[in-house]
Amino acid sequence: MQTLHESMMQTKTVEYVMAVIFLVTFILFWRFVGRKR
Amino acid sequence: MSANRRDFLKLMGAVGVGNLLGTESADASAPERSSDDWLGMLTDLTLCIGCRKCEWACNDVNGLPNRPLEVFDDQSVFERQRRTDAEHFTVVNRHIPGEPGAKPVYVKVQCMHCNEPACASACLVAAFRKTRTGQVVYNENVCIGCRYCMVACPFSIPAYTYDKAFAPVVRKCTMCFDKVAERHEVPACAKICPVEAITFGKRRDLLALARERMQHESARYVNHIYGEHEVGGTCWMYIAGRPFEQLGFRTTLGTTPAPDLTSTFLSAVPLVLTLWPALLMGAYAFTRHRDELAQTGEAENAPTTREEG
Amino acid sequence: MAGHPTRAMGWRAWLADKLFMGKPFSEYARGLVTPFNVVAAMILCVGLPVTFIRFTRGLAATTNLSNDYPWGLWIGFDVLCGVALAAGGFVLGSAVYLFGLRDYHCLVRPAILTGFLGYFFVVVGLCYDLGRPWRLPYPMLVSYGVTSVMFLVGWHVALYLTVQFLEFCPALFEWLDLRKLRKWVGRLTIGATVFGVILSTLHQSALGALFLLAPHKMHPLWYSPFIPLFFFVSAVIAGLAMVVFESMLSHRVFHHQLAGRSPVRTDRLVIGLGKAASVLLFTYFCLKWMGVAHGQHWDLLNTPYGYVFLLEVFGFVLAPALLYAVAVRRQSAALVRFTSVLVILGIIFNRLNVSLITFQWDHEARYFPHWMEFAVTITIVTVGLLTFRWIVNRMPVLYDHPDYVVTPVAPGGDGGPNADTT
Repeated sequence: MQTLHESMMQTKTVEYVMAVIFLVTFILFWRFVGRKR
Repeated sequence: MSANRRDFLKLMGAVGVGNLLGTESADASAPERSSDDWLGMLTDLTLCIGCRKCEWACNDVNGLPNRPLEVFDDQSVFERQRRTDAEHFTVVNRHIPGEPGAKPVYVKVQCMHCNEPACASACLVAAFRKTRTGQVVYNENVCIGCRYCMVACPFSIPAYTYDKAFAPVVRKCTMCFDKVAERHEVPACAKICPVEAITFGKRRDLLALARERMQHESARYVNHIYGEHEVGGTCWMYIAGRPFEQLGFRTTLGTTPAPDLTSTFLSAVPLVLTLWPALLMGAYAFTRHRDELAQTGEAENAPTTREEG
Repeated sequence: MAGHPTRAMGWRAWLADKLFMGKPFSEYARGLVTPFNVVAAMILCVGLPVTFIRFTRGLAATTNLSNDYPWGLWIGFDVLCGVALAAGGFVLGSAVYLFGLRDYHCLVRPAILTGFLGYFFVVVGLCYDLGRPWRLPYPMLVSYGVTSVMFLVGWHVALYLTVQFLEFCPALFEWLDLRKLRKWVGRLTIGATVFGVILSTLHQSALGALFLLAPHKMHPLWYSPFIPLFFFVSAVIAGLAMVVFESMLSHRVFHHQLAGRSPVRTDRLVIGLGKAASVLLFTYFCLKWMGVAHGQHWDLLNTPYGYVFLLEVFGFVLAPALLYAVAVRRQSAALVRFTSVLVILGIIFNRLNVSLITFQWDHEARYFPHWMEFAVTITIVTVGLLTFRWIVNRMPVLYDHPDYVVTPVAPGGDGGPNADTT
């Protein structure tokens, strides 16, 4: 049985790392969408 | 308590502790983590006589400033309610009930070693952790001294060495974690208590013991184990002969564990990090589009015609 | 600015020009003796020794902090009020660059400077308060308490300081005549603004969320699951009020720089800010009552702390909302300016209520700051003002540098991800 604190340590780490990756990919995606052919 | 039961529980405690502690410092992601393994303390407030030998033993074992045992007999210390501080990991307070002739009740105060510690949830450098054996311990090697743990603790236990300029630390009861872990001993306060008001053992065994006492002598005890459910449950628990609110306990804490209090906000954070860029860049794109239209509108200076697309 | 030394004339002359605003040193030094500077020097004469005591004798010698009151004036005012009042940077930045309110362009740089210096000196104040300030980078580099709201605050303030600095860099590089760097950093403006808004949303609300962990220590009228929202909305309001206040002070102190600017135009902008603040204040007023309803604490309004709450909400939220509205209807920039001071006092009142005044409200022994805590706070504010003045006296903050034409935001003109699609 995991305490809530332990499970939160895992989920928050994953979520924060994912958020940073998303921010970077968002920038790339925005540039991709904006680039005229 | 009979000698048999005392020895039995000490044996159980030692065996249980011995079982677990071989792997305490090993890989923290071992699969069989269980709150069943948690150790705890049960304080029976109907037994405590206020001798404060537990305070002496705690000071002694933790290297805190101490005085000879006889000094602890001085009753004047009970004239005001004390709290834990940097040099006292535990204090005993006296509560005199309202009815004339009622006996005073002595209450030992110390870290409750919560199941879901607020201090651990609050600490931005994870200086607090709940060990596999249930004690909540502090790592002074990462602490930056922000004192948020002191704000968060619902029992107002952690103390700070404000007088130290170069290495101030947070201080609180450790349930003798080092003693228990390395030498398989019983924590100092439980060991020295002359009336065995404090019992050390597995939390679930202590709950069973408490229920058993309350069942056997129901007139003696109030029907509540303090720490069973408060703020999600604690490893240090109490049973008493009077209502807990008369004994200086906080009875309005509720059962919500500390991490639950901030989990909603913390869940929103990654959502904001993901959604805001789209919303804000959308606003920017809309603004730029509007500006482009305004500029081309000025350049052409012609009435707009409806176009497809 | 004509005829100022270029680097070809030797770096000593160039440095002297930059530091002494083109004046010979003796003239510059004479100009330093002003009433404000004398008072500031006196303040520093107290603040510097107190700083020495703080870092050699510890918190016990310089504060009235205790185990029951671990947070005092330096957190309640320096950090909480400081961050809220420094919010003008992201509010104005997003208004101009993201929402296209280009009329307010002249207010962006002072707002960003106020924001950057505000956060910077918040960190300075924090270093006084932390037990081990040299470990400030620990949550970033050493040990990650990811379950903690404070962890977020630490990361965001660090990142946001960087972003605000980047947003201020165009002014800095214009002053240093570094054209290539100026152009490069200009292209970062949109991205920095967007990132700044994200960070601000999170840490302004996170400062409120810190108190979610202490329901038993806060008065029920202030403790609410909506606290993060309250802090964020009031921060935006504080930012707007500070921009008005700071522009009011700048007009007095730096009037020689703003001589060419039409006061009517400035008044129009001030009234516009007042209009936005008015609507937000009214909304915030309603939100606060939602919080009371959610907690069902109506009965607590008729208690001493209840009166404090009513004073805060009616006197410092609804009243300024109405005053701003009247000012906008009457087109009175003076009333907007007056009301902005009221709003700033109200934000300070709110943050102090949450962190100090109603914290452990049911304790017999209460905390009051040590005189040295006041001394440090006043010193930090003074140094902040001196720094602001030093920068504005030299760098193109209140005016546009003549060598750098500021074009209206053409497609990709002011930077951003699509800058290459001109």
